[in-house]
Amino acid sequence: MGISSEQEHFISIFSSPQLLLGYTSKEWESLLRIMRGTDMLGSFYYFLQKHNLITSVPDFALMHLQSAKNHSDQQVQQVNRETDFLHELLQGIGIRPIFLKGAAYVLAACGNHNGRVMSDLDILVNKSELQKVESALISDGWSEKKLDDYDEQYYRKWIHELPPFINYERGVTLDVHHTIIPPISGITIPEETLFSDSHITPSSKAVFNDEMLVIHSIIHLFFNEEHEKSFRDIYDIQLLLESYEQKKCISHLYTKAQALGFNRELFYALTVTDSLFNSARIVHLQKKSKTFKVSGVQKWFVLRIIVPAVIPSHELLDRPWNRFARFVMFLRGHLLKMPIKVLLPHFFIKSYRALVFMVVGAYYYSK
Amino acid sequence: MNLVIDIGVYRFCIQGCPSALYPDLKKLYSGSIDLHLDKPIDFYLSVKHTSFIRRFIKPQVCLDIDQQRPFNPIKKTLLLPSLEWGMNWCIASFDSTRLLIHSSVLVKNGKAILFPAAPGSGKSTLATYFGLNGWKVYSDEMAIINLHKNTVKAIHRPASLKESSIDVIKALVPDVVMSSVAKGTHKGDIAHVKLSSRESFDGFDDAVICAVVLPKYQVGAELVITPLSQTAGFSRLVHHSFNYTLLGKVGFDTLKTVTDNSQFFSVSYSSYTGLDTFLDELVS
Repeated sequence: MGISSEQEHFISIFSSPQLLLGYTSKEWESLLRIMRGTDMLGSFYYFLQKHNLITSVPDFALMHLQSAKNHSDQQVQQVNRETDFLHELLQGIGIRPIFLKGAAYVLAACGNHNGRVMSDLDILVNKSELQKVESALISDGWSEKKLDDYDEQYYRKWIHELPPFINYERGVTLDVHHTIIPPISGITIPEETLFSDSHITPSSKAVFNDEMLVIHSIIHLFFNEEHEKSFRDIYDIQLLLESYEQKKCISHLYTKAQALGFNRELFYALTVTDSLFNSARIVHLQKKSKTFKVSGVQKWFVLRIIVPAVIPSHELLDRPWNRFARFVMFLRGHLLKMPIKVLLPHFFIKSYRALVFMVVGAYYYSK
Repeated sequence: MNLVIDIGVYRFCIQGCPSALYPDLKKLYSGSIDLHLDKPIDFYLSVKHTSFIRRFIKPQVCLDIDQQRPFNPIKKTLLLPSLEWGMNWCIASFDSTRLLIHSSVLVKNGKAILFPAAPGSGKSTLATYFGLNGWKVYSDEMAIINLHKNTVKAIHRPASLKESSIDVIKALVPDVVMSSVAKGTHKGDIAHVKLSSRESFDGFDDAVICAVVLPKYQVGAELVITPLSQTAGFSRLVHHSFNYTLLGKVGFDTLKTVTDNSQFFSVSYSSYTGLDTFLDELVS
C-alpha cells in the first residue's frame, strides 16, 4: 500500500533535482519515457532549465527534451493567436468569454504554462449565452465535433454542455462551458461569483483571478474520474501554488475555497503536493490557525488512495495498488458527478461497450 | 522478446516482438539489431494484444509508444509495415531538433539529392533501384537535415515498396534482399528491401545537399526534366516538410541554406534509363 521505492526515486527528483547529476544514461532513458507517458517532457525541460541543469543532460536526452519544448513553445504561440480570434469573434456579439485552464495559464503567464501541452481550448460563458455562442462559432467556420450518439445525448442531457467544437482548417478543438463543475453533481457556483472572480489581462482577455485559477485546477483534478495522466495535473497545481505564493499568502486561498465549499478539495490538493513535492503548506496554514476539519478516514484516503492514483501510470512505475487506487478514484469521480439513478444506466451502457471492446477489439464504434 | 534496432541517429526497442517477425527483421536490419546494448534507447515500441480473445481469434495487435497509440490495431500478420510506420511516426513526431522532410535521399561522391514527394509518386521505388545500382540511400522516406546547415543525415532503414513496385524491383534486380510481402494493409501490399549492410552504413557521413528533384512516375511517360526556380523549390520543400512550421525561424533559415545551395528540377519518367545519367551529372 502506498508508494514503491521506484516511485519514491522518481518523485524525489522534484524536491532534489541535483540527484539528476548522478543519473546514468539508462536512468535518463527511463525518466524520459515516464515523462513522455504523462505528457510532461516539455514541462520537464523547463524544470531542468529553472534548476540550471540543462547542460548536465546527456545529448540523447536533450534531443527529446528540446523537441518537446519546441512543441509546447509553438502551442503557446497558437494559443495567443486562437484566443485573439475567439476574443474578437465573441466581442462582435457582445460576449467576453473567460478563458480557462491551459489558455488561461498562457494568458495570465502563470509560469506553469511553460512546456505544458494541451489538447483543446476551454472558454466559460453565461448559460443564457450558449446559443448565441454556438451560432457565432458555426458561422465562423467551427463545426460541432461528431460524437457517437450515446455520448452526444449524455453531453446534452446530463452535462448541459455543448459538444466540443472543432476548427478543421486550423486544427483546434474548443470546449464551451457555462459552469466549472457539472450541474448534475448538485454543487453550483453562482454565475455572478464566477464572472466577478475574473481578471482582465493586458491583451484585454478575461481569465479567472489568482484564487479561482488554482481552485478551478483543483476542482478539475478531483472531480475527474480518469487518473492515468494526473501527475501532470498535480504538478500543474504545485506550480500554480508556487506562483500564487509569490504574490499572496496561501491563507487567502484557504478562505476562498471555504467560501465556495471546496475546503475538502483544497485539503486534498495541499496534502498531495506536500507529500509529492516536499512543500509544507498544511503545517503553514495550521500555524495561522487555518485548519481543515477532516476525519482520519479522509487523511488515510488522500495518502493511500489519491497519492498512489496520481503517480504516473507508466509500466515502469505502475504497481497493482496504483491500479486499484485509480479504480477507486474512477468510481468516486463518477459518483461525485452523478446521482445513482443516472450513474447505474450510464455504467451499464459503458460496461456493455467495454465488453464489446474486449470481445471484438477497440474501434468498433468509431465511424 | 525485446529487440533493439539501431538505425544510426535513433535507437528503437521493439518490446514483445513476435518471433515470427525475426527472420524478416534480421534479413532487413542484420548488423543493426541488438547493437550497442548498453546505449540508451530513444523509442520503445510495444507490441500488445488488443484483447485476450483476439490473441486466438483473428489475432490482432497494436503498437504502444510510451502510453500513446498512434495507429488502429492491425492483423498480427501485417505487423512489419506497422513497425516501420511506427518508427517513422516516432521520428516525425518527436524530433524537432532537425528539419525533417518527406523525401528519399540518394548520395554519391558525398553529395546528396533529395526526392521530396507525396506517397505514390515513386520515390521509394526510385531510391531502391538506385540504391541497388551504385548510390547510397540515406533514407527512402525522410530527409533528416541538420539545422542551419546544408547537410543531411543517413539512417539505416530498409526501403518500403508498394503493390506493383514490388514486382518491378524484383524484375530489375533479381538478387534483391526482400522481406515477405504483407498483403492487404491499408496502403495495399507492402514489402521491404535491404539497401545497405551495417558496415557500409557506418561509412555514410553527413552529406552536402546539392540538388532537389521532384519525381513523378507515370506509366509510359517519356523522360521529361524541367528546371524549377529556387522559389518554387523552396515552397515544395516547405510543403513536404514534417516540422517546418514547428521550427519557426530556424526552419526557414535552414531551408534557405538548402535552397541557396541546390538546383531544383521536376522529373517525370517511366524508366530509369536516362535518369541515371542526369542524376550522375548532378553529383559529378
